[in-house]
Amino acid sequence: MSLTVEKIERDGIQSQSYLLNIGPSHPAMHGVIRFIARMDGERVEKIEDTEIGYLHRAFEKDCEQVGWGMAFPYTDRLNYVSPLINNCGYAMAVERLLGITVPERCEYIRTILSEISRITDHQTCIAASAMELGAFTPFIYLMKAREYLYELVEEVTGARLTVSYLRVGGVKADLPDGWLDKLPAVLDKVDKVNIEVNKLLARNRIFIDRMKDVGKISREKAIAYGFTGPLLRSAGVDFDVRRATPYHVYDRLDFDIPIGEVGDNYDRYLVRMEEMRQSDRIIRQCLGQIPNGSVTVTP
Amino acid sequence: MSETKKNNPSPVLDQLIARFGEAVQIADAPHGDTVIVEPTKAAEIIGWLKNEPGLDFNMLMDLHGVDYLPRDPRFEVVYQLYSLKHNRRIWLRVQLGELNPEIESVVSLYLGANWLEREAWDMFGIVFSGHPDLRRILMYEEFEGHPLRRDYPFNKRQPICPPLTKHL
Amino acid sequence: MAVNQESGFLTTKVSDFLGWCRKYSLFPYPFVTACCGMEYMSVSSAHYDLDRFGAAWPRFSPRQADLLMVVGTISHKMAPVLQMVYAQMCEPKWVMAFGVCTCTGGFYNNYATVQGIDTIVPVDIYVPGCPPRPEAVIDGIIKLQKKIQADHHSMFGPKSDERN
Repeated sequence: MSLTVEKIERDGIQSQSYLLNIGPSHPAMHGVIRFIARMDGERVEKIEDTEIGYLHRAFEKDCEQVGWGMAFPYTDRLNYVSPLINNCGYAMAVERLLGITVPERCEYIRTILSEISRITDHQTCIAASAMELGAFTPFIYLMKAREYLYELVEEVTGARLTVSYLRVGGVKADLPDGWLDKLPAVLDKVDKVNIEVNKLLARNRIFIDRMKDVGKISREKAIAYGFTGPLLRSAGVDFDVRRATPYHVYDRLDFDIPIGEVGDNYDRYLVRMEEMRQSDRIIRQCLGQIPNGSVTVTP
Repeated sequence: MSETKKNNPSPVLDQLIARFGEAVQIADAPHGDTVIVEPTKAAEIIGWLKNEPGLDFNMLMDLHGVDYLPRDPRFEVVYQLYSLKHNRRIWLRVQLGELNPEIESVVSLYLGANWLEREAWDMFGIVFSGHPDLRRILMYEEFEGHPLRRDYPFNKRQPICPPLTKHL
Repeated sequence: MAVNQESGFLTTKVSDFLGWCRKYSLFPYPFVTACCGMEYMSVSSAHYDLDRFGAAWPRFSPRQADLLMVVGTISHKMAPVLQMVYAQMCEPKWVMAFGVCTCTGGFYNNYATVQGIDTIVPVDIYVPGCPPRPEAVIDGIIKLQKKIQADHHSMFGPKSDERN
């Protein structure tokens, strides 16, 4: 980290860079992090230092104090935008240690709810990033669409956000009666909003100017830093854990994995948008395949 | 899945043992190929796994410390490597003693190891020699001790701000 | 407040009038750190619409805000930042503890977490819940408005219940 002033010369004009502290509480910061940015005019040239840990809540230490089954509420709050996926990851880890195979219906329920969570997560991400660029309308639209999905999740789990719905060896309870029948209508509504937001953003001059070629990361760097998820895929790496090591019932479902080209912000936006469409597809396929039966392992 | 793994060691493990012999021991784990590696050899083995043609473990998925308090050696550092090309994972466990737990850094191999090693240092006090910038990452500089060690009391707080003295 | 229909005048006390103005023009500063932020987004956007209660537009500069909404877990590392943001706000100012982590520390009884933000800044209203439902937040806002109305307000100088 160097905190010295650097001379810059451009078009024969002498100038110097300056340092700007961003965070840890900053309006454009959804999550707490602090940067010391080296600026050249209004361009961020470099991040001199990054400080994290402002939301270190000691999940590991807390989980050590409780039993295996009591750690689920902590996993909800790891990524609180898609808590059900985090529940799944933890439940699968414990189940693998115990050598448990969960019933088929449970696997389908987990898949459906994971994909609903994925949609809410991507919606929040796109909504927030659009808002920071000054586009408030997509934010309002997507928050409204997210509300439809939260209502669905609430009917199943009893909570909007921090669900703690999974258990080791199953889920808390079966889906409510008629829940699966109304799912397609809600997905239609959400899809309509996503299409509208995409129309507002994807070819918007301001949006493109501020997203294209910003925050570019190369394929090699993305791999070296160990990126996963949409960030890795937007850098052009064809890796999705749902395809590489299928869990739940992903090996029986047909879905595409969107891949970016240059790894800039705009690619990340496009990858997220397409993933929401694919999640929609996955849920609809699950609706046709989900069997009846038990939702937890029987002792 | 765990049964098949135990009976048929994967070709990667065979290659590892053929190359490094005594320094590598196969461990029994339900999740997949796991080896216990000698601390002095760890960085070399990881470098070999990354660069050897045919293996290509080009991603460091995770690196974390573990504290098994009553046990000797007390600490463990676990590396999880992944090969994008072959869709294969391997776990390396390195056991370190209680006094001066130190291991060679792998930042030169994987850029992502930088923060992960800082976290392991912050939480467990494991020193990574050759790390470019080994300082606390999650806790603040004033914090004393390493909170995820088993002998650190879970509710021992070290506040920076003094508590409010005058209430409404 | 009394309305004189004939003369078209409204008679009230300065304090009541200021309280009435202030309670319906709350400018919140969302100090968002964690999960509760998702519910804050819900409550401030179209579906639940905090605008109906006169507490709509988030001001991201503490100097322009009069309601500090502390949304999410505050760790010991974050505590000095929260204190600084509180100190930067102009009087009169109110603080809402949004979510159980800010009220008591919630279920994070560990080395990293502040056990209730009232140990570091004064708090006017507590909204527990993990995270609180948007309805609970709206209820909290209405309760805070009642509290503001009941406060003594003066045209100049700090709020009557001087706090340091």
